[in-house]
Amino acid sequence: MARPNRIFITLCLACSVILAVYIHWARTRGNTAEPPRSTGPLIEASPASTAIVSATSETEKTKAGGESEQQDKTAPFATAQNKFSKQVFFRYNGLDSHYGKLAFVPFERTDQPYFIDTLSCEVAHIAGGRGICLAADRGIITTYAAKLFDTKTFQLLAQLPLKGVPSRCRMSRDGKLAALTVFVSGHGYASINFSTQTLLVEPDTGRIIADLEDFKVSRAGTPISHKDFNFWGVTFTPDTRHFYATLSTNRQHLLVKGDIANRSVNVIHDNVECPSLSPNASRIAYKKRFIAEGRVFWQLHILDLATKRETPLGEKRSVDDQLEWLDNDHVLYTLPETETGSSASTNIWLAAADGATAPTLFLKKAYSPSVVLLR
Amino acid sequence: MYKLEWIEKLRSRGLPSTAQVASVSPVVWRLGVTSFLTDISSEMVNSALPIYLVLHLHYSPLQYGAIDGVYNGLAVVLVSLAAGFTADRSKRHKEVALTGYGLSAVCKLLLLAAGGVWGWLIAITGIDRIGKGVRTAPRDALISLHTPPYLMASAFAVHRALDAGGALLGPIVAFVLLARLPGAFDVLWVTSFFFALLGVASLWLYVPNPKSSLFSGKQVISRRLLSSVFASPRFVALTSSGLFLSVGTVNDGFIYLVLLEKGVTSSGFLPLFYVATAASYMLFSIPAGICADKFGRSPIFLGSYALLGLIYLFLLYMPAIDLGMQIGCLLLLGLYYAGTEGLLMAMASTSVPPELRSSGLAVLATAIALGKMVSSLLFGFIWDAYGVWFAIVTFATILLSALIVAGFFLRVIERKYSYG
Repeated sequence: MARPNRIFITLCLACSVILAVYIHWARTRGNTAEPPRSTGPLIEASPASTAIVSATSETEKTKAGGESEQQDKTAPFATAQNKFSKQVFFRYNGLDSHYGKLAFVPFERTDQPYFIDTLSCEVAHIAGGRGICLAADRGIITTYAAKLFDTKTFQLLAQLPLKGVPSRCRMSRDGKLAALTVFVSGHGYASINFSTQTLLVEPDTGRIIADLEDFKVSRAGTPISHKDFNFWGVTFTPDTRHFYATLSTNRQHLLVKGDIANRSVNVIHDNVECPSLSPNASRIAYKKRFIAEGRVFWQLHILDLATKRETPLGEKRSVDDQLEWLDNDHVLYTLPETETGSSASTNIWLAAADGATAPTLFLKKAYSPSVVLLR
Repeated sequence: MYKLEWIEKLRSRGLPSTAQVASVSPVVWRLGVTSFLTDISSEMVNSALPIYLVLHLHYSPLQYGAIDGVYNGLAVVLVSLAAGFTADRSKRHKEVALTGYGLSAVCKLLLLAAGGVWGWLIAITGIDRIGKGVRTAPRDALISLHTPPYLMASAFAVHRALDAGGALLGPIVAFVLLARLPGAFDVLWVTSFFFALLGVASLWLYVPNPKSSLFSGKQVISRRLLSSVFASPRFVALTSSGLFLSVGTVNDGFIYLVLLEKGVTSSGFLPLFYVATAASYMLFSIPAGICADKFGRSPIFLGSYALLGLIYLFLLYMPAIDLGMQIGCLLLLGLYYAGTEGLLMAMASTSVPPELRSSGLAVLATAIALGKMVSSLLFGFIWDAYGVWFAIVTFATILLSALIVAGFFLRVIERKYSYG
C-alpha cells in the first residue's frame, strides 16, 4: 500500500476513535454530573406540587440549609416569606434526558427539581393557574408553537403556531391573558435582518387578541407611525387592562404603556428593554442598552414609575433577559454559564432591587424563571 | 498554451460526455474531496452557529447579525489577493492553499476553547473567513493547472459538484448530532474539526504542486507581465462582465425571503431551502460543465444568468407560490449556480497564463465579491425604501443590461481568439 494511503487511513481511524470516545464521554457526563429527580409521568407532577407545600416544614428547611452555600444565601428570603411559600418554574438546561423540559423547584429546596415531562419549552411563563410555553418542534424543518396549559393538570388548553423563533412570553397575574414575542425574519432590513412580532393571546382558547403592531402609538400626545416599529417584552399590570412593553424605532428602545381595550400605546420612557413590572406595580426592572467598542451590552436597571428615577442593579455583567420579580425587592434573571466550556447552559441569578447588594447564584442549569406563590 | 484552447476544443467536440468526466485529472477529484470534507466541516458550524448563539447562549439576534456580518471586508480582500500572488511567485499553490485550509481547521478547535465568550467568537469567525480567503484562489489555480484547456469547465464542474455535496451534508450531520445530543455543541465543534483535519490531510497527501514545465523559464513576475495580463482586453472584459452581472444578482437570502413571504411555508423551512439549492447545484454542476466544454462556455454562462432573470420574473408576477413552485425555483437557483460559478473560473483560467493564474483568479473573485456586496446593500436599501416589487424590478433591469453588455464582451473575446 502506498505511503499516503497508509497515513490517510490511519488518520481516518484515529479521528473516528477519538470522536467515538468524545461522543461517549459527552453522552455520559450529563447523567453522571447531577442525577436529576424526576416526578416521572405528568400525573404525578400535580400531587407533587401539593406535597411541596407540606414539605416546607422546619425539619426539611434545616436539612436544606446545611447543604450548600447557595442554600445559605437564599435562606433569609425563605424565612421572610414563610407564610407565602413559592415555587420557581424554569426551563431545565442540563444536558440529560430532561433537557429543555419545564421544571419547578420549591423556593426553599432549589436542589429538588420536579419535571413536567410533557412540556419542552424554549421559554415559558406561569401565573394565575395558567402557563404559556413556547416550544420548538425540531425536525429537518423546525417549527415553533405556543402551548397554553393549566398549571394544576398541565393539560394543554390551546396551541397556536408561531411565525418565528421564540423570544419572550409572559402570563398576566390572573391568568386571563398571555403575551409572546417571536423573531420573524423578512420584515425590515434597515439595520438587522430580524424583526419581531408580539401577540396578546387568550390562554383558555388560544385566540389572538391583538398584534401590537396594529396598536395606535403616541408620544407626548402626538400620534407617531413608522415602518420599522418592533415591539417586544410585554409585562402586564395586575388588573390585566394595561401592559408595558418595548417599542423599537429608529435605533431607540422606548418604554410604552399600552391600553388593551383602547388598542393604543403611549411612550413613557427611553432606553428600556424587556420591562418587568414589580408585584406592587410601582417599579419596572429592565435591561438598559449600552454600546461600547461597537457591540451592544445590557445593564440591569430599575425604573421607579412615579419618580422616573433609574437605579442600576448590582449585576455588572451584560444580561439579555426579561427579569422576573421574586418579591417586591428581588429579581431573578438568566446568564450564560460561559466558564464551563462550549456545551452552552445557563444559570438563574438573584439580585436585590436596591442595587447595593451583589447578585447570588440561584439555580443552575436553568432558564426562563417564573415565580408562583402558593397559599 | 491557453491560446490554443479553441483548437483543442474543436478537436474534442466528438468526445462522449462520460469519457469527458472520466478524463478529468484525478488531482481535480482529490481537490474535490478536500473541498467536500472542508465544506461538511464549515457548513456544520455555519448551520449550527445561529442556534448556538441565539437559543443557547441567549445572545440577541442583533448580536447574531453582528457575527454574521463579520466580514472584515478589506482584510479578507487584501489577504486573498496577497495569497494569490504569493502562490504565483513561489509556485507553491499547494502550500498556500494548505495554510488557508489549516487556518479554518484550527478555528474549529478554537471554538471548543472559546466556550461562548463573545470576543473570541467574533475573532474566530474572522480568522475562519481569512482562511477561506487564503485558500480559494490557489486551490482554483491548482484545479486549472492540472487540467487541459478543453476540459476546463468539466474540471471545475467536478470540483464544484463535490463542494456542493459537502455543503449539503454539513447541515444534515449537524442536525443529526444535535438531535441525538441536544445542546452538546462541543461535540459538534470536535466533529467539525475532524472533518476539516481530514480535508487538510487529503490535500497534503494527495495533491501535487503543478509541474514546473507549465511555467515559462522566467522566475520573477515582471511588471510587464502583470500589465499584459491584467490590462489585456480578455481579462478586463471577463472581469467587468462578472462584476456587472454580480451587481444584478440578488443575494440568495433575499430570494428565500420573497419565496417565504409569497409562499405557503413557514420560516422553519429556511434551512431546507439552502439544502435544496445545494442539492440542485450538486446534481446539475457536472452536466452543465460538460455542456460548456462541448457547446461553448459563454452561451451556457449567459444562459444560466438568464435563468436567474426568469426566477425574478416568476417572483414578480406570481401572486401566490405553492410548494411545487418553491421547489421549482430552488432547482432553477441551483441550476443557475451550476452554470455560472465554476464556469466563470474556468473561463478566467483560460484567459490568464499559468504564471499569474492564482493572482488572476483572486482578482476576479474579489471583483465578484465586491459586486455581491454592492448588490446586497442596494437590494436591502431598495426593499426597505420602496418595497419588494420595486427592488426586484430594479434588479431585473440591472441583470438584463448586464447580460447584454456581457454578451457583447464575451462575443468579442471569442471572435478575437478564434480567428485572430
